[in-house]
This record gives sequence, C-alpha cells and structure tokens, in this order.
Amino acid sequence: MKLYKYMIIAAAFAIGNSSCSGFLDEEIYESITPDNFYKNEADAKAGLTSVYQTLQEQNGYKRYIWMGAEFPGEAAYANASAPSRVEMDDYTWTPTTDFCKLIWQVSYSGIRRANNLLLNIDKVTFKSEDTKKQFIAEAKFLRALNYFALIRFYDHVPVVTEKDNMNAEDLTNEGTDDTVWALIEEDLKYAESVLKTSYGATDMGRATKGAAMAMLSKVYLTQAAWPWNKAGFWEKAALKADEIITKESSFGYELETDFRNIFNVNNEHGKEYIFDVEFVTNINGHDITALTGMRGYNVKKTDGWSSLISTPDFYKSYEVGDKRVSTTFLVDFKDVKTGKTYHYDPNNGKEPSFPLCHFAKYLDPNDNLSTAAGDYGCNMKIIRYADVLLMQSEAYCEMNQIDKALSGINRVRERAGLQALPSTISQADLRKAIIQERVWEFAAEGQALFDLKRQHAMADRMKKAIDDKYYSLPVPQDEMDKNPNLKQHPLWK
Amino acid sequence: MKILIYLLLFISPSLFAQVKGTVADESGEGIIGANVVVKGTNVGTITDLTGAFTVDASGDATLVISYMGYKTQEIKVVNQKTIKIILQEDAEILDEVVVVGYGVMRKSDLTGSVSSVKSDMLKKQAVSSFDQGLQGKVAGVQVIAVSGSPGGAVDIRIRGGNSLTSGSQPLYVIDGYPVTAGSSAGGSGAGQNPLATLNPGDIESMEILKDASATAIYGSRGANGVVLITTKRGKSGKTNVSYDGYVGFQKLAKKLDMMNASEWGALANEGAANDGRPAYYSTTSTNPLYPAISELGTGTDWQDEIFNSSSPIHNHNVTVNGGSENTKFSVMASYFDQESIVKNQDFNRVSFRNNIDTKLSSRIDLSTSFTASRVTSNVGRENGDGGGNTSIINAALVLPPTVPVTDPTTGEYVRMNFLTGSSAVPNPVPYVEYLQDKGTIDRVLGSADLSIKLIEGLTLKVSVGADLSSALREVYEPKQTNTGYNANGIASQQNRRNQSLSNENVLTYLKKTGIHSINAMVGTSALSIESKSSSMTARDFISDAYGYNNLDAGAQWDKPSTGRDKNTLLSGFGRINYVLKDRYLFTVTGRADGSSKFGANNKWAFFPSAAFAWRMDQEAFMKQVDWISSLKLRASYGVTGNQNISSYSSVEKMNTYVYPIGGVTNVGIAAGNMPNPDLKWETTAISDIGVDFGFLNNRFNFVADYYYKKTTDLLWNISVPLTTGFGSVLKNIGSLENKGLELSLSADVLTGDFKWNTAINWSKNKNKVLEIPGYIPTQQGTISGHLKVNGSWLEPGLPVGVWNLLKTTGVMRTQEERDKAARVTSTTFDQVGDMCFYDKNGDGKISFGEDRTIVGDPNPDFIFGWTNNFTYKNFDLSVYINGSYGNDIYNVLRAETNIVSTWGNQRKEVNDHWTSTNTNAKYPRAHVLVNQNLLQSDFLIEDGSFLRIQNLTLGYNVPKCPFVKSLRVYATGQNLLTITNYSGYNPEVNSQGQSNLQLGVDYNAYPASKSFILGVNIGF
Repeated sequence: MKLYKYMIIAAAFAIGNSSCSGFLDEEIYESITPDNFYKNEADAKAGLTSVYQTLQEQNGYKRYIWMGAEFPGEAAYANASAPSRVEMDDYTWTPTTDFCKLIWQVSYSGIRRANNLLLNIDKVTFKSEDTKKQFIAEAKFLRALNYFALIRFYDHVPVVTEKDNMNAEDLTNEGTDDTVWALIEEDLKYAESVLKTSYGATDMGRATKGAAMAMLSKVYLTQAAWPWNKAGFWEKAALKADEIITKESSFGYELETDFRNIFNVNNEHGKEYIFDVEFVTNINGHDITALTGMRGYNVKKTDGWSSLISTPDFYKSYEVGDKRVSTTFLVDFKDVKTGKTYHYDPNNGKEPSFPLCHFAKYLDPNDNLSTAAGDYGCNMKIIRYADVLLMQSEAYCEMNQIDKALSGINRVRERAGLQALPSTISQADLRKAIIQERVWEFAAEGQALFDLKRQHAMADRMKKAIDDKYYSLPVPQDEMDKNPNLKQHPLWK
Repeated sequence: MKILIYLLLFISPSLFAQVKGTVADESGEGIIGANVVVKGTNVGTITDLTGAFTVDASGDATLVISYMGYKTQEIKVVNQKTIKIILQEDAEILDEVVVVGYGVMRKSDLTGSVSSVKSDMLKKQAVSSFDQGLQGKVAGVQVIAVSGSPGGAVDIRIRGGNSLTSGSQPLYVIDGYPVTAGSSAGGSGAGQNPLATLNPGDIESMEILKDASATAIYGSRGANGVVLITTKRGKSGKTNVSYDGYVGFQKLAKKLDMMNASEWGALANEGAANDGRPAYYSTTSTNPLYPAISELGTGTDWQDEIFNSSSPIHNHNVTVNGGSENTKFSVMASYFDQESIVKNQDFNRVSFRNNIDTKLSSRIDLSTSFTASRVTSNVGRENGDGGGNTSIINAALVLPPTVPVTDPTTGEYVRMNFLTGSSAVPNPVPYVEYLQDKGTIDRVLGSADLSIKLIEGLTLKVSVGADLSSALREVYEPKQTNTGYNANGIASQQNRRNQSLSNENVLTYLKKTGIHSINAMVGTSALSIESKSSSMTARDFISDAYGYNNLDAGAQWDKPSTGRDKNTLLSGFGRINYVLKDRYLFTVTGRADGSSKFGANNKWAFFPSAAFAWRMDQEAFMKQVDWISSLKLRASYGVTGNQNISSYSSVEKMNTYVYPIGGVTNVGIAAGNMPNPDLKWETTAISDIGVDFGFLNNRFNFVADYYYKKTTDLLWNISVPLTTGFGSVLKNIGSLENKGLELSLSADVLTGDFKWNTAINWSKNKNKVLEIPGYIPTQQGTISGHLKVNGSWLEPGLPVGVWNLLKTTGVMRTQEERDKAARVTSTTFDQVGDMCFYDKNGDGKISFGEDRTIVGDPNPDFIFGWTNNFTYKNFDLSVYINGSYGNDIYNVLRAETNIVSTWGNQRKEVNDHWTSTNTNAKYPRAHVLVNQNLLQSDFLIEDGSFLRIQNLTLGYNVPKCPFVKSLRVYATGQNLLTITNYSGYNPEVNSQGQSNLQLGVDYNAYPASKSFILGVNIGF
C-alpha cells in the first residue's frame, strides 16, 4: 500500500506543476459574464433593449398574452387549435393550462431585466444625465407594462423591485395589490415626466410620453372598474385621456382615415400609433399572420393555420356598411398560387366563398417579405389612439356625462362609416354601445378579456352563464408548488 | 520527472549476474507478462511490454518460461547473455491478453469486469460504424440504432443509464486516445454518428470495461463504462496483403400496411358524417382534387414514392501487414458506400490507416497510429416532428392516399395536404427528389507513443495525440419543396471544427519475485477539447441553379451565427495489480481529475477503486477436480464520475436578445441563467461481484456478474419560482440506482470435423430514480409539438422513461356500456362507438391530471444475444440473434395513423372500427376531429419485445487456390427476420436519439432495412 501512496503523491506533484497556468479556468468566448458588464452607455442600452425584447417573446405578445386576452372574448374562436387555446376559448382553463404559466413567466422575466438595469444603472458613466433618465424612464414604463399585464390577468401577484432580493423564492401575493398598483402608477408617472413625445427614425418604437399617459389612463380606468371599483378613478382616467385628446395635435395623434392603414407595415408609426410591440421580418418576425391566416388556401405565400379565427355570427354582428369589416376579416382574396378569387359569405362555405371566418388585420398585403410562416413583420398594437378615445368615452359614461362621453366613440364610429350615436342616448345604452364598439374596433387585438372584465359583461356578451373566476387566470400550479407563500386566487380556490 | 524520483526510492533493482532475453509468440510478437523463473529457486521475473526480461541467473541455470495460453518451456542458459524464446500456443488453454485502461493485462490477472469483442465477430457484419457491431455480443451492453439511416446515431448503454441530464454514452478510447471529435455540422438523419468516421475494418479488438475496478482509472469520464478499441498492428515476418470486400443490396425491412384511397375516402366520409361536416367525397364530382368516391381507386402509395425498391451497399478493405525485426507496419485502406432505403440519400466513407511500431534502440520503442477519413452523406428530412415541420417519413405515412403527387390540372407538385381537418404535412416527393443536403466530415486522428525502458521492469510511455475534424453541411431547399417554395429557395452552409489535443505520461512497472507479482502504473494526462461552429443562411433566389454554392445570390440573409466552446481536463492516476501466489489478485486504482466544466468551488475530484479476485483453480484442493479448468471469483468497488455536461454550465452567462428599434436590429444583453459555483460531476459508486468459470478443459466458459450502481449528485435543472425571472438552475441534486445481473456462456459444443461454437449472453438491469429533492414529478419534454404529445414521466421510486397517461378500457360498444362509462369533457367523443377510459379516482369524469396512471415502461426485463458459429470442413455458417423482452414502445405515430380520423391516412387495421353494424370493433368510430384523450393515453403504448435474426452468414474457404494464399467467399443476410408484436417499422428504436429521459419512443424514426450481401476475404 505504501507504493500506492507514493504514486498518488507523485501524480499530485506532476499535476501541481502543470496546472499553474490556469489550465482548468473556463474561457468563455461566446458570451459576456455579468462581472463589470454595466460600464458604458452602450451596455445600459443593451440592458434596456433586453427589457423590450421580452414583449416580443412567444410567451408574451407574440402569442400568449395576446391570445390569452383574445380567446375568452366573443370575436375569437379556437377552431381545432391546440388544447390549451380551446380551454381559453371555452372557459375551461385550469391552473395547469400553459397560458397561466407562460404569461406569468414572461412578465416576471421582463420585470427582472428592468430591475437589473435599474439596480446597475448607477455604475454606468453617462455623457448626459438626460440619457440616463431616458433609460430609467423606458425601463420603468416597461416594468409597469409587465405588472399591468400581471395584475389584469391574475389580480393578486407578488411584487419585486430593484430594491428587493431578486433571487427570492418566497414572495407572497397576499396583500400586495395596493403596492403593485402604486408601483405601476409611480413608474408610468415617472415615464410621463421624462419621456419625449416623439423620436427620430432611429429611435422609433421606444416608449413615449404619450404612451405613458395613455397607459396611465388605462391603469386608472382598470382600477375604477370591476373588480377594483376604486372611487374617483373614472375621473382620473377621464382627466388623463383629456390631457392627451385636447393636445392631440401636439402629440401627433389622430385616427387613420382608412382603417386598413393602421395595420399597414409601411405606416406602423403613423398618426394612430401610440405604442406597439415591434416586429420586423428577418429580425424578429412573428407567426401571428400564420395563426390567424387560412389553412389550405394560399392567401399569403406561406401557409396559414386557421388557429385563431372568428365566427360567422361575429362577422354578421357588424352593422351594414362598417368599413372595418374588410380589414378585420378576410373577405376578398386572390389565391397567390392558383390565381382563383374568393369572396367570403358567412352563410355559405362553398366556392367562391370558403369555410371558416378568418381575421385579416395581420394579413396586411404590404407585409410580404416573410419567407417562413414565423417571420411576419406587422406590429402588435398595445395601445392606439382609438383606444384613448374610447377610454375617454367609457370614463365619462360611467361619470354619467353623456355629452363628453359621446365625442370619442362618435369619432371612432365616423371613421368606421357608421352613424353617430344620438345625444339622447341613456347611460345604460351608451355603456352597451361602448363595449360593443370596443369589441368591433379591437377584434383580434388582445383587448377582449380586459374590456369584458371592466364592465363585468362576459355573461351578457357571451349570452351564457360563466363563472366569475374566468375573468382571471389562476396562479400557475407549478408556481404554487414551488413557493408555499403564494396564495391561489380566491375565486380559484 | 518527479514521479521517477519517487519511484526510484522504492525500487531496488538487483544488478547482479544477469541474463537478458525476449519472449515472443510464434509470430514474433513480444509476450507481455510471461513468467520467467530460475528452475528450483524463487528467483524470477515477468516480461515487460515488449516481451523482454532480465533475470539473475548463474551460467548453468535452467529458465522456466510460462504464460497462460502457451506451452511452458524450459531452457538452459549455458552462459548465453541474451536468449530468445518462442512460446508455442497451447490451443487448449489459450489465455488472452486484455487491453485495460493505460495498459494491458493477462485475462487471468483481471479483477474487474471486462468483455472483449474480436475482429472476426465484427467482420461478419455489414455495419457503417463499429458501435453497431457490439449489438448483442456483450452482456450488459444495450445497443440501439436510433436511426435506420446509414451512419445514423447509435445509443449505447452499459449497465443502464446513470444520468438524467448529462451524457450517458460510454467513453471511447482508440489506441489509448479518448475520442470526442468527428461530429457533423448539423442536420438530421445520416452522418450523425461521429464514430462512423472510423472504419470498423481497422479494428482488432474492442474491450468493454464495465465495473469500477476497470473504469475508475478513467475517473470523471468512467461512469458510463469505457470501450477500448485496439486497431490492427503489424507483425514481423513476411508481408501479408489481404482484401476484404462485399457487395449487396438493402430493402425496407417492413412496409406499413396503410389504407388505399377508396378505404380512406369511405372513412373520411364516415368521420365527416359523425362530426356533422360535409362529406369529403361525393358521388359525383368535377373537381379533380376531390374525385367522386367511386373513382378513388387505390390512390397514391406514399411509401413507394419515397423508398427505393432496393439500394446497393458495398465495402472494400485492403490491409497490408508486415515488418522486420525492428519495424512493423500495418496499412489499411477502405471504401464504404451505402445508398439509403430512402431515395437519393447515401453514406460514403473513405479511410486510410497507418500504424507503425519501430524499435529506436533496445530500450526505446516508438509506436504511431494514424488514420484519416472522409465521410460524405446526402441526407433528407426524415426525423423530427411531423405536421408542418417536414418529416418525410411522417408525411409519407400521414398523407391521405387520395392526395395525388402532382395536381392533375396544373401538373405541378401538390405542395401540401390540402384536405381540411387533416394534418398540414408537405408533399414528401419533392424533398426526396430535389432537396440537397450534403454533409462532409474530414477527420484525422493520430497519436505517437514513445516507450522508454528506464530500468528492468520499469517503462515510461509518453504519448501525444490529436483528433481533428472538420465538418461541413451544405443545404439547398429548392422551390419545388414546400419550405423552398415559401422562401423562394433557402441555401445554408454550416461549419464545425473540432479539435482535441492530449498528452499522457505513464510509468509502468512489472516485477515478479517468487510468489509476488506486481503490475503497477502511474501517470498524468492533460486533454483540451475545443469546437468552433458557424452557420449562414440565405433566402429568395432568382434561380435554383446556384444550389448551396452561391449564398450571396440570395436576396435575403438570415443573421449569421457562430459558436466557440472549449473545455479542459487534467488528471493524475495510478493502478497497482498485485498477484500473490498466482491466485490472490488485488487491484487498487485511483484517479484525480480536474475539469474546467465545473464550478469554481469544485474543480477537482478523486475517484478510487479496489478489487479482489481469487483464482480458486490454482488452489491445491481444486487441482483434483478434473472437470473444472478455471474458476475465479471477483469482487470490486469503486467510484466513477460523469462530467458530460455542456461547457459553461456553472457560470452566469449574459445572453443576447434582439429587438428592433427604428426598424433595425438592436442587440440586448441580459443574464440568461442563474449561476451555480458549486456545480460538479455526478458520482457513480459501483459494486460488482462476479465469477469466471471454465470447465471441461475450458470448452465451456461461464461468466456471471451482479452489480449495484448508485449515482448521486445527479445534475438536474431544478425549478425555481418564475418570479426570479428564471425558470430553473442546474444543481447537483438527487440520486438514482441501477442493479443487474449479467450471464454469459460460451461453448465449443462440437469439436472435430463438424465444429459448433456458441455464445449466449443475457442481462437484466433495473433502474430506479431514488430522490430529487424539491422536484415535483412532471412529464418531461415534448415528443411532438404539433400533436402536443409530451415525454416520459419522471418520479422518484420509478424507473426513468415510464409513461404516465390515461388508460383506455375499450370501445363503448353499446348505449349501456356508454352509460356506465366515465364522462369525458368533449361530447363529440363521448358517444357510443367512442373510446372509454379508466376512471382512476372514480369521480365519473375523466381528467388527465387525476386519472392517469403508469401505463408503460421502456426498460426491458432482459436483453440477450446468441451467436452460433458452425464449421464443417471448408464451410462455415454463423447466426447472430439478439432480442429484448418486456420493454414498451411509445408509438407516437399511432396518434396520427391509428386515430380513426381524417387527420391522416390510417393503418389498414383501422378498417375494423366501430360502426352501428360493426359494434365489436377494435377501434372506435370515425371522426374528423382528433380525440385528444387518445393522444394522452396508452393507446400509444405497445409491447416492444422482439427476437431478431440479425445476421446469417454462410462462407466457404476455397482450398488450394492459385495465386492467393487464402480465399473465402460468403453470403450474408442481415436483419432477415424479426419476431415481434410491435406494429411500427422497427421495435429497436428511439427517435429521441441518445436522450436519457426519452427511451423507446417511435415517432418518424427512420425505418430499418434488411440486406443481402456477397463477400470475399482474400489473403495474398
């Protein structure tokens, strides 16, 4: 055994001699480590870009946030789509449905990145203090957007900021509601105070002052309504919307004359644009066009899947002469391969019509660079000017100031080629008209669940009894299992 | 040189009257470890690595030279200073020399569990890579060709899987060099097995190290077992030239019986009627894509469209062997060419090897091994997810036969399935006809060993080596293909360069004094592995004419990507093999490994092992038992590791995230993972007890081993709350065990004119996950994204790979049966004629979360192999059989082809589905929609047991042939017959490749072929 010991000692010596040059230290070539990453403006800018990036993830607005808010509404139909989408469409989702987990995941991922930047930004040397404030304001705007998505979907969520331990595995969601709302408002107010009203071409797509104000109005509107019912918030929402609308020309906001033009890839930052998730073919294209596109026909060069489509009934709900129909739905198209022309007839699925009612907002004819089903460049709207007008109407309607309430909705109706609502309309009828207008205006834009939720109108609109729990997503089961401090949504217990 | 000094401290050589000599076999090859004893004394020694010895002896002494397997010789010294002794082989008790880690040993001195496969076994099989040749030959080794494509990946598990996330394949060491390079530049299908770059014809023998006594010397890479490969080397004497070659053809081993167009059309109409949809095929029609039901006929046979009726295979090997006293050489050149059973695909290898052994002086030997090879393959789009993801195997089985290959009106290819309510698969024909996807791998593996005999018995071997490979993949998807059509042509080029450099310094000491015999070794090694890759893609080509050769002609470019990865391993190791009285054998090994892959706090690890064996047959009391010719009991225990994780797993990496601002790319940077500075290797402790038993003059040999392996510090991505911004962190957590029994029996049943040699091996392994703290059992991974079919169920207490799904209890044949059954959510699938499921919790409702149960296990109860060699005069016949029993297969294709839906074409057996007039049917009633519950149930599980005649060879040695020394001609049939109940292409399958968690999955796996071959072996 002595021999053996000597050998091990010998080996150890031999190794000791040859390893002095750090032979075993890992050299990383492909990526940067966080040590001393945040040094200059470019680093901070890259950190900020990574916060924007979570918006366009599949779990975010590219699929789940958008679909999760759209399927429960009346416009969208899941056809024979993936089971979890059918669950969202049928009000049968559960804490294990992937929507619950993935929306939660992407939101906290964005929050982590924003917090990381806010925590480290003081390490960075900026040439100008204004740039630093601009970065902070954008990060806060995005953090608010993420928390707003969370609280709108889940109602009760944990809160973590750059001042907290970001690795904490024991956060609670009990009694955090006020903190979350306060943080959202505080972040948006900061963004409003710092951000510019517009940017040059190279910064197009960044959050603006108007975006912060529009979101703030929506945050107030949401708190005023069910289930929060906070007193004085309709007023706050109306006031914030007024601030934008009265100065719309200085913000450069106006409704597009042609509804189609809102979704034109060449006019994405036109006058109705307030804040979008940016998609560009060959950089980060999406497959929303394919998901809403038609299966088995060559509407676009690449294939559609008929996954998030509409119904003949919803198509027929539009008033005669509504100019939005031909953009909202696929009505006329020419098959790019066979050259055959089709015209949709909701009462007949046979040629020259076709079966199944499809949306066409994301089938912009100008969006023709994509060479793969997942590479379309049409932006996803988070908020556009028509929304601000309709928010103003909704707030004033609830405040029972019918005159003021009518101006916004009637502008939207006028653009759609519809008659203005009469000034004699009752508050109850106007309330119904506003929600109807929102359903028509924003079909397939990921607003439905929240619009129905504010007005607690799901049963009414869907014409069937639906449990109140389906106004929210439950805390994902996985997350409950990992963190005992999380409490399930009271309606989901 | 420090080692040397230490060693010199305890070695006291006797430098008195010395006799030097060499001991060699009849071919002149030095015999290692032969006993040289001065007759009538205790003085003696054993020969070193070159067969040389030095012994103290007076001028008139007699030396007794003995070696297992050779006849003992006595020789008088008669004042000779150097003696050359040639030992005659004793055919009766031939004992092998076995290659072990960093050395060789007499088989009789082994304490560990080591199995050998010799070249003559390999030679009989037409395989593209040597690892396939191990199949069924060795107990405890499960070999699965995960893809039937030529040069496709092979999954090898030695004594079960030890890991959940790290690599589970054994370490391959070729002529002392651990090989890692040779991977392809990407793509699916053929050319994915890095080992296929090496010519199986170069191999002399393979040793499979299974227990810790044998593998612990490889430390942090030893846990999955080690395969040592020795290539052919020259022998001094007359130069021998030989040619081994064969030609043959292959056929699809089994074609699946799919419905024809009339059958499918009828089913589709029935499904449409059941689901309240318009009929697919009416009685009259003017639309050529939807003909009248009576005109459907047999339709398209998509399998015939993509598979060849027969594909040639041929192989040529030329070996030149020879040498003088001082220099021996072996030169091998080979060419292998195989066409795939899928049209227009092939695999081709050219290789060259040159092994030279030179005596530089009486003390110094130089031994070099060098091989260069080029592999090229044309592959397609076989594997992977079906649906719109372009797997041509999937498309050929799922595309309804009513869909024509070309549109009858335009004459152009139908791009994809145009039927509504049917899987959106592309037309596979343009893919096999026009897709260009060519892989090329160039590889050079060379090593040089310098052996210096420092003093008697003490040899220093210094080895340097390099394994370099460079791979290129060139792809063009022309406009005829669906993807190419969408993108107006896609061209891409991918490159990968792998480089591995190694240095090893090993001191070996052999000494025999009296009843003591020592074989000791100590060494160091340094290994560095680096890989670089790049990839570029262009789209939108004016013309298909450029192919993949002119990416700049594309109007659009994808973002290029590059990668670089490096890891290093530094080690010290040693082994002592001590034999007392030729019967008590002790082996102790140890290895210290430092790996760059692990966390800053855990860079170094030590892996020890100890073993004891008792050669009972050497005991006096056993000498009287005539029928027992050898009997050895073995026991070993040791610890090995697994460092097979990707580099940089322990550090926090900043990843890039792209977002467009101002319409142009903005690169974002954010942390991509949570770091773990405590990350380290997985540890496997192995206990093994075994017996080697030979009787009736070693005509019968029996080996049995029982082992228990426990792996701790399992690497697992343990979930963390998503509120951290991350999903999981890689930690050493959890443990699992494998235990098993291996039996093998080999026998010369008949000797004489008619010879029959047979060998049977049988092994059983039981795998169980012991614990994963903090883990909540879930389904692991996704088998098919578009079908939403998830992977296996991982739960402590169960084996890895089991499936936790709903259980079907049969078709609800009558209203009464339907009323008794538990309700499913969808009313469409809750009618008479639909499938009934087992209601585990008895609440009257079927819910996946609560009613699922373990319905299948991919781990076999046992596997076995049986080889038989018969010779009669000049004829020889060999039969190799292998099989597996008790394993289940997750036949995911059933979710499309047996689902009784218009989703895709159906197997013929689905004709037996429920209708009001056929209530006693095997399958439920037809639908347009797909019953999602069936996709999450044991409907997809089948018994995968099989017995296969893997190889049948009949040979004839042509006697007294002019011009040649020897000539053998033979005919071989491979994969001739498989006895199984499995309904898919091939029960020996895993479409998930070498995955640890997904075993026995069959989804779009490349089917197996059977082949018929004629060959010759010529010696000149």
